[in-house]
Amino acid sequence: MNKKLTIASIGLTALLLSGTALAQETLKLLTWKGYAPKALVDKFQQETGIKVETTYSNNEEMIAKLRATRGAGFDLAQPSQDRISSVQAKFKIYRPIDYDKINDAQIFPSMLAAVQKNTRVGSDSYAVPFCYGTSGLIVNKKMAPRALDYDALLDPAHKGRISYRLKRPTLIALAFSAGDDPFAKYDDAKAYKALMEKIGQKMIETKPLVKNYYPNGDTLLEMMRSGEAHVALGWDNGGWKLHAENPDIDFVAPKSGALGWIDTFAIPAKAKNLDGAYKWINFMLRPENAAYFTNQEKYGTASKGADAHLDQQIRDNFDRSFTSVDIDNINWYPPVPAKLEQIEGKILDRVKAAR
Amino acid sequence: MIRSLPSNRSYSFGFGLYIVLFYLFLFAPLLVTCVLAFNDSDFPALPWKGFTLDWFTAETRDRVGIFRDQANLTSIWVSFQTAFFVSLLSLVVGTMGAFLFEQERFRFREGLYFLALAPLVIPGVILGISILLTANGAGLLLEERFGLDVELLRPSFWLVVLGQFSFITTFVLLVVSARLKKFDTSLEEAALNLGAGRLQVIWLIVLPFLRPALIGAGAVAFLMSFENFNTTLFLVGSDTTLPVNLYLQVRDGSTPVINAISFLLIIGTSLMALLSLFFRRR
Amino acid sequence: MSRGGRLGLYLFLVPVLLWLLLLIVIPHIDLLVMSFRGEDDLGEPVWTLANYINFFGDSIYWLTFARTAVYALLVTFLTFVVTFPVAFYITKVARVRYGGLLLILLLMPFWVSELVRVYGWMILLRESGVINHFLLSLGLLDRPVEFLYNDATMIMGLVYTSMLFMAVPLISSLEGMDDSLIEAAHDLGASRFTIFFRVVIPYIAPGITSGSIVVFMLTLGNYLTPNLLGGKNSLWFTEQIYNEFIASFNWNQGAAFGFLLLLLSSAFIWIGLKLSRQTLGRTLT
Repeated sequence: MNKKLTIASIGLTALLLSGTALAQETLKLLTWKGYAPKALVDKFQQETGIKVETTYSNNEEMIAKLRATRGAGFDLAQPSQDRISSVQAKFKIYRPIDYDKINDAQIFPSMLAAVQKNTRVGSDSYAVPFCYGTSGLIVNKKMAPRALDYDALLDPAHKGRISYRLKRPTLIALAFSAGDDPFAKYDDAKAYKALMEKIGQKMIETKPLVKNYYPNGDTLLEMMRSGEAHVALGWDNGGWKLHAENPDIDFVAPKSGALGWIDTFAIPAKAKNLDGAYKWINFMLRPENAAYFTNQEKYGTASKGADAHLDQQIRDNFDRSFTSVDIDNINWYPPVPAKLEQIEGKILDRVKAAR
Repeated sequence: MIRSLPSNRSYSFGFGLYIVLFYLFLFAPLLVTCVLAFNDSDFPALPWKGFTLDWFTAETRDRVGIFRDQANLTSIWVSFQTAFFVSLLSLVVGTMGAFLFEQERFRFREGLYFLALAPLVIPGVILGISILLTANGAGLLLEERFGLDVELLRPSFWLVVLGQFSFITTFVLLVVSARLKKFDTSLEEAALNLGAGRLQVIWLIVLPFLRPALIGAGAVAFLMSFENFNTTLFLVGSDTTLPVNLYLQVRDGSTPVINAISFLLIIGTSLMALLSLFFRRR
Repeated sequence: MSRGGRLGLYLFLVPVLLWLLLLIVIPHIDLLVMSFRGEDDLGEPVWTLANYINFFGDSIYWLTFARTAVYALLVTFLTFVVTFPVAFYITKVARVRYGGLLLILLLMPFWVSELVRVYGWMILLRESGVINHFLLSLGLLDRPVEFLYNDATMIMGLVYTSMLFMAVPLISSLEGMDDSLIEAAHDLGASRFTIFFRVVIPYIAPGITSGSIVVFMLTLGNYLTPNLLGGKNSLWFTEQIYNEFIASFNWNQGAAFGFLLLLLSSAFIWIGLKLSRQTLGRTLT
């Protein structure tokens, strides 16, 4: 055949093969959208020479991906603290955190202790806190002044303007507003299933009221912004971002309690760049960097010194949405036992398929 | 009715109108996507707020254009690499398959041929999960028995290459077979009579004859790989390909950066299509 | 006996066998095996029929399955209805050079990733989208309407995505059809209707079969379009497979769903081939 073509393709193959092997030091990060702002990634690269490559994900996909790769392919992941221990016990996808390598002077001690306790499997703990926030209602107060608790998501008054995700927080939120405590039933699979089936049934009955099950945060923001939705179950930071653009919209801490979560750093079992992973953890929790992240994304931070660098607006947001009663009311997610996901998954499928 | 027959006015007018509407339907989403890549607005929507190149070149806190967007640029590069190796591998094995089924006689040939065609009619999602299951099973076994960690046996760049290769090869096989059927075997026999070996004949006579088919199949294999989503979704590791990466972003919400990437893709693939057409004409 | 002896045979046979065994046969056997595995109450792996019992026992699973199958058939039919006039126009009505141009234009959008095309529809149809913008400014609507997230849009999107795979086989069948067949029928006084059903359709039946098989298979296995355009009710069966793998971490259940989908698609292809008395090889080429 054509000799030149053969030689060219062999050359190109060699080039591409070496290209994959000869990369500079990288840190492969499996995280949520917005958790690795470009400015900080650039700054980190300048400081350490390490290039950060991010893959966007969510809790379920993070676990699924790491399970499929058996804890390989990524150097650092950012699951929520309640989704670590049972997954770790079953699939062994993370490696224990060496807390000596963490600069714990920059972390709120109570938060660090809580995360260590909740992610313990055997004698090791598997995560370092990064940021926290709550889920509650994002409300267009002009259009839906009476939306004060999660049951507003089932209220015919908001017909066609309701939106939520078909994910576990929705089930849990609606269970709380129905006067139940799903977290207390975590260890009793039967009771939990019965409760969730009841909630699922309600969601099916009120399905005609729902505008759309939004797939992700940005879609929700767009829908609220454009007035396509008036009441939604969402993250506090989303509500606050919208408030800055349109004062009618705000985050509302529901009467039956906002749902509190903490996202963490956890190191996959076969991480290649361990050193880089610890560097990134310490870098991101450094007060000025943590504050940059919080100012941009509006999530609370686990970094102790970040307060001094925060915009006034961030503090205003918090004060506006949370009274001290609301803060006491926050329901923090306890670690999720295995098997619950299957129960919830089936109910959510049923809601989605119902007519 | 057809061009050689007379037809009445309303018939041709109605038909023509349908064709115009059809092409409008065909191009509307692409045109709108391209146009909105240049709109100076934070959302890919009308009204038109003025022309901007921000979604290609900007680098500010709120706007990062595609040329500054490391994650998207990396995924474009990953897709290029994937497509390159997939088309190379599937060209080699597909061509071997064409020779096997066109020129060799052996037992179970029919059965094997049927099997070789099957990948094109297996839904991509199923290819993806079944290859994932097998790779995972084998990987776990090696790890637990021998303590070996084989990258190929878990979601990774090379597993994506294998997954796409598994069905694109069938496509190459069909295209090359079609051309091979037209090969005049007397040429080959003459060469054999003159004392050439089989491999020499293939290399010097048959492959040059197949060249147009090989180039065509290679180009299509490249594009099939470049835009594959269904199979890739389950096999992708940390090296995210462009379609998967775009999906994750579109699901998250839309920014005009996605329009900018789409614009580049549309221009790129149209150029490629025109080039291949040009070569075919020659 | 083959030319060039056994060496050539093995040289070609070994890579092909490796490809088919390692990437097609063994994975699908694995899929079948995994679908019969499960966990007992203690989390130990056991053999079980539970994954299939779940499917048949729970109406949401088999209803989604049936819905997906029916919709895929509908999409296949609609794709034929929409593309046939275009294929006919390009091959039989338009002037020859003009037809060539139309053909190139027809193929072009399909080289662009499916994701880009779906995305285009999303920004056209959403409540704050382009079409709403025009309808509002023309005064045809007084408030925006959501065109996205319903079954009709999803089906439209699936048809849009599949058109090429129907158009190409139709065009090549029509090209092979001698115009004189239609002329003769016309001269004998046949109506358009008769010509269409008695002359054209029987002649291009093989092309219709090939197109339908590919469109059906691709629609059945599509994930992107139903996921992004489909509404709050539009659970597609591939989404259920994805959910089992990703959200519920239940690979065994997902494997059972995958195997059922494979059975469904193979069964339809087989029926299609039997009805049109064709072989898979001829259909694909």
